[in-house]
Amino acid sequence: MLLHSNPIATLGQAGLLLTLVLAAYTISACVAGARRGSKRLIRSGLYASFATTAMLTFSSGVMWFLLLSNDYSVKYVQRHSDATMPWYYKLTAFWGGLDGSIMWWVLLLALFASVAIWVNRERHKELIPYVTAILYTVVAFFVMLIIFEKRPFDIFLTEAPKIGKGLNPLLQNPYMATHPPSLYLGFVSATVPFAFGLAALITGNLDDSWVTSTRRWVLISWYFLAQGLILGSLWAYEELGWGGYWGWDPVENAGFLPWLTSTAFLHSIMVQERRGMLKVWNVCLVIVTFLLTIIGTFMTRSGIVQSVHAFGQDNELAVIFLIFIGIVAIFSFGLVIYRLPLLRSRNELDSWVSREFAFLVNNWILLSAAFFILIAVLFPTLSEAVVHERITVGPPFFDKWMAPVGLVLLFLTGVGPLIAWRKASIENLKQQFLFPSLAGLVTGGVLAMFPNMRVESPMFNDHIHLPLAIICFGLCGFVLATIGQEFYRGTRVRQSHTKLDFFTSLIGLVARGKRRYGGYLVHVAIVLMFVGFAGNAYKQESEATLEKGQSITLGGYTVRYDGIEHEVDAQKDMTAAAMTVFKGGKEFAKMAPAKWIYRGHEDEPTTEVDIHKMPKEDLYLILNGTDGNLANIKVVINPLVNWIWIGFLLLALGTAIAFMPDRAYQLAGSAAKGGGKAAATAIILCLCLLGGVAHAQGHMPQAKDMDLHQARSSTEKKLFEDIRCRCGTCTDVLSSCNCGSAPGYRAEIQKLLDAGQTPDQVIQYIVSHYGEEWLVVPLDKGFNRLAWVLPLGALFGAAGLLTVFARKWTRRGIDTRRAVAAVGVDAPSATEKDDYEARLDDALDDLD
Amino acid sequence: MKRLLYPLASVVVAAAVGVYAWMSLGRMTASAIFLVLTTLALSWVLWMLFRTAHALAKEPAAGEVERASGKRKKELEREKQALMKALKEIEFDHEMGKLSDADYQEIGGNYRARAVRVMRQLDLSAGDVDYRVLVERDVKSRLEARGAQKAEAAPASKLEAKAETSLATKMERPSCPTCATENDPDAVFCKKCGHRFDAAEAAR
Repeated sequence: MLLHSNPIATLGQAGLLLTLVLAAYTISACVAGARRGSKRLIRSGLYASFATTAMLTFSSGVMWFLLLSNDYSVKYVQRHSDATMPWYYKLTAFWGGLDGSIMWWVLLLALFASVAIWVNRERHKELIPYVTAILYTVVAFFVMLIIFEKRPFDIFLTEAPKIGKGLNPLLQNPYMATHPPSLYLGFVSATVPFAFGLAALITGNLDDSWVTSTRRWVLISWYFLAQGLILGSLWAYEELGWGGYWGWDPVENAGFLPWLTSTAFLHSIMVQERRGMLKVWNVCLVIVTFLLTIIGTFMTRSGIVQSVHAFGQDNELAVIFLIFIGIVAIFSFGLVIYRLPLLRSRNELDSWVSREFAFLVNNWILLSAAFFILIAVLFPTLSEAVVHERITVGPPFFDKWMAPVGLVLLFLTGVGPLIAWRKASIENLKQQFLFPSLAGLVTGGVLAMFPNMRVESPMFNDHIHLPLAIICFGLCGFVLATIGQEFYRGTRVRQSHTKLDFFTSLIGLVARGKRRYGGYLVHVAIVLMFVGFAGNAYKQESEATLEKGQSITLGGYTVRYDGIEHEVDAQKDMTAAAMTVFKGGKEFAKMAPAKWIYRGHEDEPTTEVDIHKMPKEDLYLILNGTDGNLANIKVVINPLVNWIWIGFLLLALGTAIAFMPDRAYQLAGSAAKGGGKAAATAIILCLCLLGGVAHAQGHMPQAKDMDLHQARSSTEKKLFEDIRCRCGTCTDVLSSCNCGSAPGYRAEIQKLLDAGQTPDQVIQYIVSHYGEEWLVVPLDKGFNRLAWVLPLGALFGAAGLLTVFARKWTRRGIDTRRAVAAVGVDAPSATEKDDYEARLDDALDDLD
Repeated sequence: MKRLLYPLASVVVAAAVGVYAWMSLGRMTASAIFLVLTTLALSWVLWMLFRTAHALAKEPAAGEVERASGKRKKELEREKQALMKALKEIEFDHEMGKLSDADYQEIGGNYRARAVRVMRQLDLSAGDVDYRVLVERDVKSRLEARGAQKAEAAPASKLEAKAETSLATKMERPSCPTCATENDPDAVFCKKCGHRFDAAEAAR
């Protein structure tokens, strides 16, 4: 038999090997140079780091070249690409599979590392060699993975197939081209602050300077994570076609976890900057964020959790990742302990009603939420290891717990910026909170007067029902009022200094405090997103099998089915249902939800939902299946959902304002029209987002039976929502799963109910016949209690710790104040105020 | 110009690869574009490898050190700006009623101290200010603080100033009445026997 070879793939593989060699040299040269104080070695190491990145870029270039030239002798290319795909999907096929996605991860990491090293090479001379060594250790780990474990350049040793399998149809859409890169950027850029933190720990340079650089990188990472998450939600909403945008999928959670901890860091770092407190905590947060990004990558890549996006089971990879995570954790926390004497800061808390304490509570909530999600995500794996049964925790479990947590956070969003540092007096509270509280109460009160707004949602468990949506709207009103008040009062204060008109003062205010006001804009963005989340409580849906000319009426819309349309192109067959929507008796829109069948992927047709976007609500049409001229159509009304995407645009704007260099503001100041232009751009972006009627696709095995056995009563609906469909192709609950087997299960349950069984008996039946993993929310007994106890324990345990520390710090604060009072404050003498002070005063006056 | 030589050369080579691919394929394809980009990456690798080896062989050139110190100065400038902005923000918080007077004094004081430190470093690294001037200034302020009249007779020459001050401080060093050890001028306790100096002794 003739063995084949592929010189180009060999070139790529050689590039990877050289990358590893260069990374090894980088690490050793930097560490040796730093230990021996040799400038030559350090310089050489830095250049070697750039060479490593360049080499990896070269290998990636080779990979892209192979993909674009349809070289099917390479296994990875054959599996994830085919000649009929447009060139841009061939490019994105680079991260369409497991091997390539690790390579893409490490490429982004190397590029980011090089940028970070280049930017900071003069700023933190003493840190840079260690930063480089740490960054390239991580790079080396992942390069080793793609050299020894998951080889993207492997070729078929015998006859290579003539055609490619093609990229998974689910991945062939614009969101998939942008969502993974954003999320990966967020993941890899978290490595940079980690490297800085660790380098600071190693060298003992733990003053405030590393914090400044680190904060900027955390902000970058935080932003890209947010962007990745939102693009992922958009993808789920517009392409997966199940009517929602966030399903607490393990992989979504994997991105959400580091986002939560980096949010915590961005807040608590302010306490360190202002008050010199929480140094140990902040270093730990950076380390934890990095570990969570690695765990996130690990969860997606190793198949330890089941998810729509996971790449499949791979135990060997899981072990390697676990070892790496273990080593990183031991090394970094070991360093923290070693450097504890240097990190010891004078933690003093003057009062429980203070900004510091608000930040502490914020951190407590964020971290508890992160821990809760982590446990819930890992619970199936844990239960499999302990009781040999995979017990999963589904979306309703998350919703019940995360909704109140989110509301508390929302409340803090309003409180934090207004409350005084150190100690808030009654006067301060009255002055700052009177108007916002009224605004919040009025908003909630007015909304509560409309009976159809009073929808109750379960909290913690099914027995507690609260009108969470109205509380959420009230809090949104409260937070918006606080921010509005901040802008207004700030501008007034500035006006009193500069004597300029209100608008100019406002621009000046934002330009001068860009970090603060950028942050406020992000808070507004969060509020808008919460408005969108709350809208979910008013979601309506209806489903029916229609004949030509029949229609469904839901929430003021009448949707008429006009017939089937077929179309074929080089890649796929398309079947669309022509629909006409009427509102108030008038024709409102023409819509066409569809199913696409890609050649080579006939068993997984994609669902192309059609969405009519409006600020108030989305009309969302799904074609579940067709049979001759019959069509099963699902109509969903998603109120307020667009505010989530608009909120994200505002979040991007706020981040940009906080991040932009000062020079940009000088430009904007000289030509105030710039602001108008930016606003116009943002509005256009919004309009694009709103105006575009999305064409979407999603994976859903087709229902063959036209009677889909949808819920007939609220009891049935509730049951279907509590039971997971385990058909093997989806991870959805029975009520929304569109797979082939769900209707059968639904029919089975309906039969049991018709036979007079209670819902509890049905659940008993499901557990005994199919196993407990069918339940979305684990039964409250035995080992399963852990799923409830662990997060709860963490929440309250952390609250206890918080109280203990706060009390300790408060007492310390009181002691110091007493001591100061006894000795008398040594005011700086007039002579100490030398000419530097005078110069500083002058410079400060010039700053306006 | 010399610095651009290598990048320009590699762009030319990559372009040549692109043109060759174009000629032989008869059209420009996406894969040909990636061939060009890959060539660029390869030349970047070579350049960085050369720099890696070069850095080992040679101490950084004088000019580079200078450039580096210029950048260092820029960094300090940036830090100063950041600190001043923080100061402004605190002032603003104070005016908005979110910071009490005492806290404003304390937190602001911390930032002021840091800003002054950075300004000092800036002066030091500026190069045109030499250490002697700084020493002189320091000595002068110390003398003033003591209320010594010697300040008027400040010597013209910097070297003399140094000698004078070291002499002056020597004379002011209190010796311990119990063990006769010479102590630092600002000593409160004797460094040998721990005797506490009273106000009269300290002034001596």
